[in-house]
Amino acid sequence: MEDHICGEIKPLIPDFHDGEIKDKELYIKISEHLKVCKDCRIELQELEELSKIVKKYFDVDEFEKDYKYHKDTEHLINRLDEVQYCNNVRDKISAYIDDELLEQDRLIVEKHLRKCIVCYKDYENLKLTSKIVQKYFKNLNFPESDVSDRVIERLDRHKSKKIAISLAVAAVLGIALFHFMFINAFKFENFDNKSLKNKNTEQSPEKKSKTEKFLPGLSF
Amino acid sequence: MEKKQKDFYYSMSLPDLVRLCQQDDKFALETLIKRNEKIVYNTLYHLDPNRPDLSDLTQEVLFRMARSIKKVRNPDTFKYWLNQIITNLFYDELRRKTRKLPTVSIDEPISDQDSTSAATREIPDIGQVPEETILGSELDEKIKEAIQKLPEQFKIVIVLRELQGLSYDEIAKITKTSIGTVKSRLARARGKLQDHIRPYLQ
Repeated sequence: MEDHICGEIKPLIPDFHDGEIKDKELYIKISEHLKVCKDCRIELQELEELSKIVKKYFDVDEFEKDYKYHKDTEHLINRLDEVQYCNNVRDKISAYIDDELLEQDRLIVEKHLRKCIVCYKDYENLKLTSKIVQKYFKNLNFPESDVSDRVIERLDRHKSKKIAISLAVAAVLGIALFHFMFINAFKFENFDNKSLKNKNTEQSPEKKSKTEKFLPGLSF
Repeated sequence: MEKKQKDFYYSMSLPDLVRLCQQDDKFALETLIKRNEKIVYNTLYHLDPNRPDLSDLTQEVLFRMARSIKKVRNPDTFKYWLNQIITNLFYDELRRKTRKLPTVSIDEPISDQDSTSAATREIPDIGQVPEETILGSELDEKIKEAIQKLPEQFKIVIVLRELQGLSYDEIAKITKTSIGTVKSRLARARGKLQDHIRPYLQ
């Protein structure tokens, strides 16, 4: 029951601390709860402490008087910077392990890892995970033993097939070439015959008889 | 192949072996096939361990590799080239078959009034799983389980990086994404694996 009320009250503690709870009934409810709940009281006290530190940081006189507070605040702000950096760096740790970062990013990650123990631990764990996974892959067995033999057999068959196809193509080309030459030769012969015949008709009887003399087969 | 000859080819670096293959050295090609069969099988296995045709796919990848080895312009990038063959084939097959398991008939063909052909009642045959690799330790089992649970896009970057040892640039080209995407996917995938095996990291 108390936990249930805590869940409802805790988010309101910062507003309560700043005097921003305007609803009277709610204000009383929170006050009553703080009397009985140690956890919520501690949270309010921590908030008050933090508020004091921040106020002193902005108050120049107080800041000069109390150097210790200044140091504490500086540390707090540095830590906040680091936390912001953590998220930025954590995304890059994996690529840092693989040496796949740009020089600028690599330097940022290295600098942060020297300072932040949480991220350094993350880096070590991720590096170890990567090594374990690599080792797992390396140690895997291969259940098939005749795959290579089957590939080599298939390659031989492929080669023979290729040779057979090449021979067949060569044969077809040869036949085609022969056919082409034969037809052309025949056409050429016919063409020659026709042109000779035409010439013969125009030739004088003397020349014609000469042609018949030398090429008897060409006269029709 | 004699033992001495075999040792000679096996001790050779991968790019040198590829160069010999390109000069039609038959023994070099045999060695290249044998040296890559395990890694090709395991890559395909981790991309989808439930495929019943993993050894056929492995055979197809190795065959395509051997057939077009002369197309490798820079033998130093052979691994990247091989993984392009693997992923292209894998995703082509995935698109073609949409991961349908083989089926066995549990009944006699039943007649269909509208059709003269007989229809069969079929259910997926989950008994036909590929041979499982026997893993020694409990941690290995945990890793295997964690990899299998990873979403597809995380799984492929883990396999290409941790098993194949490819660079971010090569992974980006193979997965057709940017280097930034590869970085973040790999970081998130490793984070998930780390969460899964956290008790063992202490």
